Amino acid sequence: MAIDMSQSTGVGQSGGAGGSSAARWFARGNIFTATLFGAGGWFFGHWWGNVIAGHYTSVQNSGTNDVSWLLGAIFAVVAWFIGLGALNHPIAKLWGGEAPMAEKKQKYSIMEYFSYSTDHKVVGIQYLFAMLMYFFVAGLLALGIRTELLSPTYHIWGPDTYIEIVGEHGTMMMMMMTSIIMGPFGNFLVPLMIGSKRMAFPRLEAASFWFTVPAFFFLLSALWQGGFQSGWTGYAPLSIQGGVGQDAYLFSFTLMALSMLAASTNMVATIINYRAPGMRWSRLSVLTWGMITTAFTMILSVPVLIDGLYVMGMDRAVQTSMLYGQHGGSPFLWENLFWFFGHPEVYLLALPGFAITTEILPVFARKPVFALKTSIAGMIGVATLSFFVWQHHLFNSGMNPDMRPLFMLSTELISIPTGFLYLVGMGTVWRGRLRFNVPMLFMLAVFFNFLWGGITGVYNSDVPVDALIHGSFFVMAHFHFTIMGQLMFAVFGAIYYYTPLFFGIKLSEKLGKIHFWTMFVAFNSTFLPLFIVGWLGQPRRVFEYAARLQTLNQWVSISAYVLGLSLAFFVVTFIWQLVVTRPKSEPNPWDSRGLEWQVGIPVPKDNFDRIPVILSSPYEYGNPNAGPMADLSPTVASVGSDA
Amino acid sequence: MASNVDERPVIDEEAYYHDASLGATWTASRTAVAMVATLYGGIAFAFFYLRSLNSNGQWNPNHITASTIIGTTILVLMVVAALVNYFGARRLRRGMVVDWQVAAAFTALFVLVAGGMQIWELTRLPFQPSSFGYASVFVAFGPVNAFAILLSAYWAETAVMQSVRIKKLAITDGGLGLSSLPVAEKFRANVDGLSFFLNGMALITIVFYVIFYVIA
Repeated sequence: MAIDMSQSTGVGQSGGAGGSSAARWFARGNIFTATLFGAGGWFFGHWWGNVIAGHYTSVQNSGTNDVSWLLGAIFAVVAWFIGLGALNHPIAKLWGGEAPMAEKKQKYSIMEYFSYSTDHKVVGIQYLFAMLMYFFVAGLLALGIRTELLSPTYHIWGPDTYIEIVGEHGTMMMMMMTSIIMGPFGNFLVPLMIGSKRMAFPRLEAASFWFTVPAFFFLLSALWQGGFQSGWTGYAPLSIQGGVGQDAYLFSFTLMALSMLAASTNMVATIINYRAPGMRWSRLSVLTWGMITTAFTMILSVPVLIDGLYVMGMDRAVQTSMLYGQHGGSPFLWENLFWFFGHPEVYLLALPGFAITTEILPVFARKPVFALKTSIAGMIGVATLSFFVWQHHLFNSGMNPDMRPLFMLSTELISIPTGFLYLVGMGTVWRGRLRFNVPMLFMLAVFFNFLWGGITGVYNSDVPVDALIHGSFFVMAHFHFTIMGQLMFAVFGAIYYYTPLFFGIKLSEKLGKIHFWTMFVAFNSTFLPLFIVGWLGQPRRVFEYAARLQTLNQWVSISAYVLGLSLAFFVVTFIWQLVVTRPKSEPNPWDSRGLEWQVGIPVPKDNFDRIPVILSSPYEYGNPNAGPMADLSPTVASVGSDA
Repeated sequence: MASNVDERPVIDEEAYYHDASLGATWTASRTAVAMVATLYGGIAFAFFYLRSLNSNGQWNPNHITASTIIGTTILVLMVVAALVNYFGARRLRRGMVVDWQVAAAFTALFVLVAGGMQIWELTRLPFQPSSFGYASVFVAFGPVNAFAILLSAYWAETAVMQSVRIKKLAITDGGLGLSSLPVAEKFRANVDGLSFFLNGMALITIVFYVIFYVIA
């Protein structure tokens, strides 16, 4: 499996002439036809919305209102999927038919990555680049925030623009990054890790990716539509009073929610049903455990988010009053619906991060995962408890005070399974024969960073402390350590680790170490002082602050620029090595026992020549008597024989 | 089975992935019910939360509900559809394919009408969306319910059309209801998933009938 950057090998048919295959590709549906259809859908929906609700003017003389905006967006997305060719199958089913799926190929042209591919490896790579793009755009917005905070009195942005940027940054990170591990790594690796040649529902998998693209652009469009002053948490009444930028928020979040549901349904069905013979639950890789745990958490929490966003949309467009107290509603309804998803969501970000960290650590420690079952229990424990903590977000916003101790307790309890995950990692590296390659450095940094985020999290869950620091930069620093410090470091480590498998190249250790150390130092230099800034009373989402905090803020901003430069360095060196130098990798450069590494580079089009038979755990490092993990060429019954 | 040429296990790939796809259909239909139930659960939460808060005494000051007649009709249609499908599926397992086709076609029709009734009810409400709390939650519930019901109708319709298209393939092997051909087994897995989903929808319809028309 490799991207061929140099020549067009055609899509859909091998060996065809370049021109005709390009024409076939265009006719089959792709990002360009989708954009064209989507634009048409937008104009139709917008026009229709104005016909039926032209008198609901949200912005004076703009010709835009919530109904026309939302109808425009809905039609745009439906047309987008028509343009991709994604609806051919459901429409064919109306007549009892089935649209054919494109043949898998060993080598894809670059164009295939811009079409509705049902090959899990292509989807994984589509996700990887898209998620990185979303992350870097959101990161640029963060630099916009830090630029404003260089001075308490001299302003780059107005207060409205500032809060728009803050909201956009927060939403983009929290919303899009839920898929940054399941999307690229889950889709690419899970079939390989469980010994399957395919996913259970490839069309659903493809749909999950193609929801993210309009979600991103709709969310970005809020910037030039007045933004959304409610921030990523979307609290009412701000959210029901804002302009159409708020519609962009709720609509794009809904699209991401649909993406998560599609991805998790496919993931659950695949992991449960498509495991190779011998792949018992006890032999499943930690990453696969992380994926199925995350997927179940999504299935049970994301629909409630859709409810919340739908309630907001109905209040805005159809004039219901569910979030408006005067007519029998309550803004607290949103807080409950949102956080019932929102707190599990934090773990939707953290769990895959821990899973991939625990997956990679033993390879570089040359030891089995310490207390593997405890790690799995930790993931399941975190996922389960995450449904019982949401009200800690309401400690300060008017919940029944008698309920506070209950949610304080449940929140503190979650530190126990989280501690399992942490200690499993520590136990795995303890007395290991550590190899400090770039992926390992990132994984070790995960534990350093998460220590700050985790310990401060325990304090945050205490009602008295929360009452003091709520809404301050202290909380902001806490969740940046738990999410960026944990998840994003795990992601970058995983990129360095899995690049040979994804692209057939091995990224430079030297350049990787420059990236790691600059990112690690700049990250801590950016976010550690924010604990102090918050402790000294600087609130979030306010563009002015006390003059005495200027020095600390300037330090943080400059560190943030260095962090940005470090990430830019990664982008440049990554693309340079991927496109220009292409340093070839050996088949299993890290000497991993994982099944995914046994298939060779590039990964064969069907992953395995034959269904493998799994013989042992993937983590038997340091055991001289350990046999191979799998028999990759077991005897196969003749096709069509009487099973 | 092909003979075992050495000590290693023998795997029939086609059969293996066929079984996996049957399992995936089972898993996905159960997952779909879990997701839909959670989606409706959020609306139930909104109902009970706002009802218990009764902000400004505006939950439902005049004790008005949406049309009970239409609501009852939707309830009856959904429950009957689930029952018809259930008995049809039983007959399918005994090999009576035409019986199932008739039952499933009626199921699709009943469910389609129920979805249409739900949309029609929204046009005949005795209140405005913002009149009071109950009104708002009902106006929000209506489109979700219509969408989920119409999704069930789509599933039922596609199953019927699939059976029409593939019927001949299994005719020499006992028919779609009994054949051990992969295509027939996949079809039956789809029917099983549909039945589970429809039963779930019928249960949800009963619960929400009680919520919106009895408790109110």
